[in-house]
Amino acid sequence: VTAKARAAVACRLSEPAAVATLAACGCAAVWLGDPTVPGGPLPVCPTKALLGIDCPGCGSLRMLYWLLHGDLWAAVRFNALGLVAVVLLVWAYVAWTYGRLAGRRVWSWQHSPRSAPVALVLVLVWFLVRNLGFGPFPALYV
Amino acid sequence: MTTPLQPGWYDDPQDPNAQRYWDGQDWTPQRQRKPTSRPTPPPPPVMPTRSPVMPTQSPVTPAQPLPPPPGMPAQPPAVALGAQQQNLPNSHLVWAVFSIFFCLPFGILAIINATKVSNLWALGQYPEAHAAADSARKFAIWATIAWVVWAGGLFLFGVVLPLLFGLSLLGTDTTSTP
Repeated sequence: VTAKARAAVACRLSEPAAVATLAACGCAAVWLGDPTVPGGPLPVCPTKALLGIDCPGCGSLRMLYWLLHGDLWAAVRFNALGLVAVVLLVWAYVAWTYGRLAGRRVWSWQHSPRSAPVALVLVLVWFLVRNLGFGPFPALYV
Repeated sequence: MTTPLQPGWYDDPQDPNAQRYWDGQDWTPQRQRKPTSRPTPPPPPVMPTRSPVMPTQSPVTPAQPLPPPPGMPAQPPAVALGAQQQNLPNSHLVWAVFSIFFCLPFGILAIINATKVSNLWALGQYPEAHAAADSARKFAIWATIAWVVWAGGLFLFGVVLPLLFGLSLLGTDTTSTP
């Protein structure tokens, strides 16, 4: 492996490395900030603070906190759809990084024409059911 | 690119990773994955990473002409598309999904616009598809900025200023974030 080839690989990995660094900083902030205790330094969601309702992303900081601590069930409880989104984002990241290394386009979920409409429907349904005040739905309110 | 298209496999306008069979008149239901290696230089990927990382790639020179998508009159596939219209634009769906975490309507608007991209593309409305892709990106950016401003403001007024001016009020900091 020549120095030139190594430099090319480093160049290709610079953007994925930057994204990974940002993600690691975010995870560290969530770990240290502990969103499970009210009144901490991490911000509450603006939709919840201003309107009092759960948005599709509400509970994501707590979900991430429990995910980082290995408690999958607590993560599901705070934002199940957010957990799915985390898996999809990691998938897209891995495909993107591998594609840059391999120098070609690697298929990922967002390239399917069905992904966008499915994501839209899921987000809207999740938005609705979390805010229903009857039956089993209040358990989804965080 | 102004000759009628012979029957054969062409890039699927709905799925950038697939090829679809064009029978000379219209699309057939047959689809296949794009071959990984092509005899001709591959068109530039629609990857979100079009940076000068791979300078050896040729500029937009599609290997095959793009037939009109279904819904268009099948008669004249003699479409001279602009260079930027050859590939389905990146709908920024990943970023749109990410922006949902920022708890703002912008995230939903970003996904709505990402949804429009492939539909408009399939209808042959290429400028509109590009505009929707740009909107998806724009709303995802707005969602991110709005959240950063919100979080920064809360951090400033909930943590920094109380620390600077109210170290004696340690017991009352539960008012910052409900």
